[in-house]
Amino acid sequence: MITDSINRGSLFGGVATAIILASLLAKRWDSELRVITRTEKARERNFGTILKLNNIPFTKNVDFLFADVNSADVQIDLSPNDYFLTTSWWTTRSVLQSVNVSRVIYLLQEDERMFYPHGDDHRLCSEILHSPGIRFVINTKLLFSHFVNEGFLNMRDSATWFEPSFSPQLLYSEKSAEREDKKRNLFFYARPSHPRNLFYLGLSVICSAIERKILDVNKWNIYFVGCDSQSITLDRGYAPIIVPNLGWEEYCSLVRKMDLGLCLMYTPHPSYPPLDLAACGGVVVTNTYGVKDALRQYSKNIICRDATIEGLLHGLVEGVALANDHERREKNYREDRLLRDWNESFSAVIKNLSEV
Amino acid sequence: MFYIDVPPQDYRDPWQSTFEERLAGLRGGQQSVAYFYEKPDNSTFRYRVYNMIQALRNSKSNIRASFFCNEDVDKLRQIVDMADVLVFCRTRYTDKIDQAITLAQSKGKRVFFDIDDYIFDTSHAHLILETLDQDLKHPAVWDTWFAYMSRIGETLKRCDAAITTNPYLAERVTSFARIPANVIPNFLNAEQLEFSEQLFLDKQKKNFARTKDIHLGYFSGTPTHNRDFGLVATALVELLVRRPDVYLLMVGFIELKGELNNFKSRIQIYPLHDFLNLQRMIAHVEINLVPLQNNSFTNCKSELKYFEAAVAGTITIASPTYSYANAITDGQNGYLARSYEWFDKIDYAIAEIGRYPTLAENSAKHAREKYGWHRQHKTIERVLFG
Repeated sequence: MITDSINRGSLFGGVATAIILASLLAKRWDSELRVITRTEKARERNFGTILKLNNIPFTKNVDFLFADVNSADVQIDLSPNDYFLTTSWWTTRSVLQSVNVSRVIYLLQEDERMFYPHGDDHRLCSEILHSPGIRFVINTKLLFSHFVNEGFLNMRDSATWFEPSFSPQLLYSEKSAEREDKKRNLFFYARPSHPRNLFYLGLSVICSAIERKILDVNKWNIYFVGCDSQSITLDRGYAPIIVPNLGWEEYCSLVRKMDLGLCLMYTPHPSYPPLDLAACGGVVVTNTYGVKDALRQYSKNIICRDATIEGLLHGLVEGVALANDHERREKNYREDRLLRDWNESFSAVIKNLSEV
Repeated sequence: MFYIDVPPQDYRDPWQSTFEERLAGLRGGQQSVAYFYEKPDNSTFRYRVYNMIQALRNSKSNIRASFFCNEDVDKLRQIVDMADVLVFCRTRYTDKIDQAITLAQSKGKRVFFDIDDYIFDTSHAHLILETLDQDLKHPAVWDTWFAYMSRIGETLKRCDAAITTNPYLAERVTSFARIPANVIPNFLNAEQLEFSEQLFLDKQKKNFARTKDIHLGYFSGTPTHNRDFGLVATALVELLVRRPDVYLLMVGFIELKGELNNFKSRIQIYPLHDFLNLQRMIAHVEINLVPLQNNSFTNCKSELKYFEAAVAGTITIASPTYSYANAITDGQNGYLARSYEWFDKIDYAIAEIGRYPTLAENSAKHAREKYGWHRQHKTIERVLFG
């Protein structure tokens, strides 16, 4: 497995998913596993922590190598039997410079072209994504459909997709009855330096919701959650609770206490926070994007609306009502179709990769 | 750190002797074995030659054993004439060595090659240089190692059979040289066992009394272990940050890198010790750390760092390489730590310090019974004389 870092700050979501897939593949193939990081030496312990938190027994030893992206002297010993699980277009590109494409498995968790304006990086990323012969493993059917719609014939013919899982040990519903007499909690996924999370649209929506009394600040605590949020004062002097950089367990503990989320993602992938919240019985308002026009296939507690102030305000009206409707919210939670076991998530992918 | 009242030992190499004395060591028995090692030292020579001879000499069988070295190379004909079996231990090929092997074989004498490292197959030179953190930019490094390994490999191939330290290495020897390979494990010699037992009994008598601090020991201090030590470095930093009661005691020339330099006041570094007084150093610490990379070179290594600590009443946390995974039952006579488990295993071992006497006694008993010199002669005799 090759990735930038597995250290705090890099570990959420995508990298954890890669660690899980790499471990399950190593188990299935009974192969050695090496984790190669590019931007910093691995804090090895994080690897075990992720597996433990996701209830994945793993008894193999793992080699951790730091192939510093800034050093021209870095060498990695290869054998012709090695497979490389890459986690981004740039790690894929670096591997392809030394390794035959047939040995590359690319865990694709976003349309990575969207990270860039039209220019060299965008073009290089497109080139890698169009490479024939790479085995793509795509995070969610939704993202797979997006690529097919975008004309990626290489993916249509050979990619496999999976739906992620949500650890039942960490992401579960805390009885809201225990908090009946307390204020409701709103989770806003607030990451100003990640443009795809539409921080400023979300901020406008929250301000308007307070203004229009959709969110009554006497009844709602508003949490701004994200690694780079700054101290903020909203209209009428309301100060949201700022929650910067959390460890995974702290994050899950916080998510369990949430009644409603506003999680925006201006890409086709649903992203993890809305699904984390739904996995804990919360209600979530998120935005549509292309083929992402609804997320009811995961949970009826996820409300998907246009990425406009009015669209999302309508979503919040529905969301607040649903968050307060314990019976319907609980029923939706019980009937959700989120997976809770990574073995199930990856079973078809691993079968497919093992057969090739 | 444990309180130890056993004083340091006055040390001199116990194998110092003249050629005549050593030659006389072959006379008078029913059978005899001559070991050859280029230059006696405190490491491979001690385990693979000195300890073997000591075990054979002290057995009830009438077997004579002695060793010879480069300074005796012109007298190899005399040695071959007197010995029934020859063992060339980790010996590089020369014309004289080749003559001695040829001569012995022509006289119907069995010739063994004893090897304790995967350093005979040049197709693995690159891996070994990486593992040992050698300077790959330096052409002389490549020349030296390719020459060294191919000369070892050539002597190995010229012998009738091989002796190694574990079955994993034995398989590689046979695959490379197409000769049978037998296993005689590394073990403790009489001096080491006796002194270590004094240390163990001293600790046991005091009910493993110790200072309130925890000392972690790392006793592999040569630059070739830089990468092995790197496996545990981040866990050590995290422990030093979180636990002000943790100290690190190291023996050798380890270069502290990165954040460990912030904790110099809690890291004690001692020079290399002779093999007896090293036991005393090991006996002082609560936990002996043995991180090893996981590859075909390190899986050929023996478990000596486990049993040397165990016999002195110190528990080990080791990487689960072939030999250590076989020697240690996790949680019973030590601990095994996968690469991502170092922090948790050390932290757990400290939390379980109340169980220390039980673990230390288990591992000391295991070390004495399995790795004591007096338990080895039957295996050695069977391998050498059938």
